Amino acid sequence: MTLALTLAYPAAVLSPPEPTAREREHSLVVAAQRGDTESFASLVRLHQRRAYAVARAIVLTHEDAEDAVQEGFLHAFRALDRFLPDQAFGAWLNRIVANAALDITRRKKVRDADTLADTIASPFRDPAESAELRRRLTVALSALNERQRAVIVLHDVEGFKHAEIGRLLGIPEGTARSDLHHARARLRQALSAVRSQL
Amino acid sequence: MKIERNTPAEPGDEEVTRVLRDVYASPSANASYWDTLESRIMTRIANAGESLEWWGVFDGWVRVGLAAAVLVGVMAGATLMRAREAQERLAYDAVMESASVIPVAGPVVARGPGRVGTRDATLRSLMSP
Repeated sequence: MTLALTLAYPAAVLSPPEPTAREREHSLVVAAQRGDTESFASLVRLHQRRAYAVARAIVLTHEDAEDAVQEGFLHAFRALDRFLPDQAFGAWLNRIVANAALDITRRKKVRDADTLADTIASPFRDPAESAELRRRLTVALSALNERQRAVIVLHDVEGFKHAEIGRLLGIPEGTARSDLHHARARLRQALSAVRSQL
Repeated sequence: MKIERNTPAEPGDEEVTRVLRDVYASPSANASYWDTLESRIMTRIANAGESLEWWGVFDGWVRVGLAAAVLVGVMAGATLMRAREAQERLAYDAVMESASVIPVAGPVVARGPGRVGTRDATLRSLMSP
């Protein structure tokens, strides 16, 4: 009987299917909830890039983004027993990281546009790009309010949808759309002014 | 109120997005950067865990302290009650002992006005001018 089954079905069919990414993440979360630190480290490895991107969209500097990511993961680790493993871990984590980033922004309310223009620029920029365009854009970004800045970066740079941005920042989807519209208009204006001068 | 259902692309949006992506480029090209960040995150979590354990020791002591405080409270209450009972008993005994010395008033016998009334009248006549 066993031989007949083996002949009838190829080995690939008989062997258990490969777990999906979601299933692997689920098992990591469950193991981390049981106190397995190595599993939590795997979750950090899986999600830290996206978490950094979320934080970077909200705070002004690369250093603050790193702080927000570390804070976020620490909060997530402490609140892990309250997380339901059937939910999407990434979405839950990004919300926590976004809150940590918003806290940092609130603590560091810097309104000086010149200071922002210096600090907002990432240390990982392409040297071939026009320095003037970047400078003007960073000045224009600093003139936006923090929510508008976060919305446009999350949407245009990280590819989040309006509804996702709304959930991340705790604002209605319509507000995210409206913020994106106004932020784009401001930045377009800033760049077109540079174009006309160059 | 104007509701914006879409965010239509306008001329210049592509350039805004391109420059934004440049400014906000993540350090993804540098693989060792992410390894370092991961180890920093895990170190921070480990340190936080240690500090939690440090507090955890105090949590245990707090429980012991609370239990001891309850025990002391119960003992103090019992002692206080016992002292009170002893005090009441002493007061009762003192009252009972002194009660044997205090003369007990006997029954009042009503006397008729005969003899006493005569003596009073004699006294009044002697003292009057």
